[in-house]
Amino acid sequence: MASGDTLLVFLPANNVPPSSDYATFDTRNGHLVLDFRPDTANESAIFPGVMPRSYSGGGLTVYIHYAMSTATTGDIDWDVSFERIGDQQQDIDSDGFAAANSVDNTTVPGTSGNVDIVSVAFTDGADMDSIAVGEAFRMKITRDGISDTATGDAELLRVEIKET
Amino acid sequence: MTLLTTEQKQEIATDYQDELSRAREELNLTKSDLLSALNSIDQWIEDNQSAYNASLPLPARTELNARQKSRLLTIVANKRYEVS
Repeated sequence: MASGDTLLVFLPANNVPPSSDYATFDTRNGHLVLDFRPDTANESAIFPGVMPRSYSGGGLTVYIHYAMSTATTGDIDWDVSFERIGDQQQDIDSDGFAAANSVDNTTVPGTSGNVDIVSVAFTDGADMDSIAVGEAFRMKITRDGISDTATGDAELLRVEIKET
Repeated sequence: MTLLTTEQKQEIATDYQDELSRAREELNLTKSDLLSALNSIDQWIEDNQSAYNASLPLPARTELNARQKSRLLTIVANKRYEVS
């Protein structure tokens, strides 16, 4: 496998939430989703994984598939960050997420149930916390609900990680 | 009665968004549009207190206190919403 290939796909059920300000489970017409609130706090979901053996050491692109519960106007901001757990790289008694990369000011779909896909790119190295092939890691996805303008919850359906 | 504080209006905005999100009722307003609407509604209530009071017949106008009159207004407004 190589550049352009899907490495991992995460579903809402794969979320291992942070201890506070976490996205919450919901269903929409039988679709399991994670609800991210629009204000008061920036809520997050955390997806644990192992970098597949097919990863060839390039950068990553994270695709966020979401719909809005109510908003049909305004924009939405998402942040994505990685934490390398690796082989004796991270003491899991604490968090070690690298700085987040963002996709901001995305106009939400004009129909609240339509799923939009946005992407966040990471270069290989410190940008993605230097995660290497075969290493455990966590990926945190945060809605910057304090800053974005769209009302109501955002519903996360899927997350894809592709090798850029 | 005085105008609501910014925090109180933000609380209303949050509750309203929660309600619409649960119902998945579409809302074609941004957060700032919603807050502007709440500001206007609050100001309208403030500006029309005298007119509301004057509309009440006796003895309600004189026997109800300000909080009781406010509560009655919310009950009527809520019922109008429920039956609309």
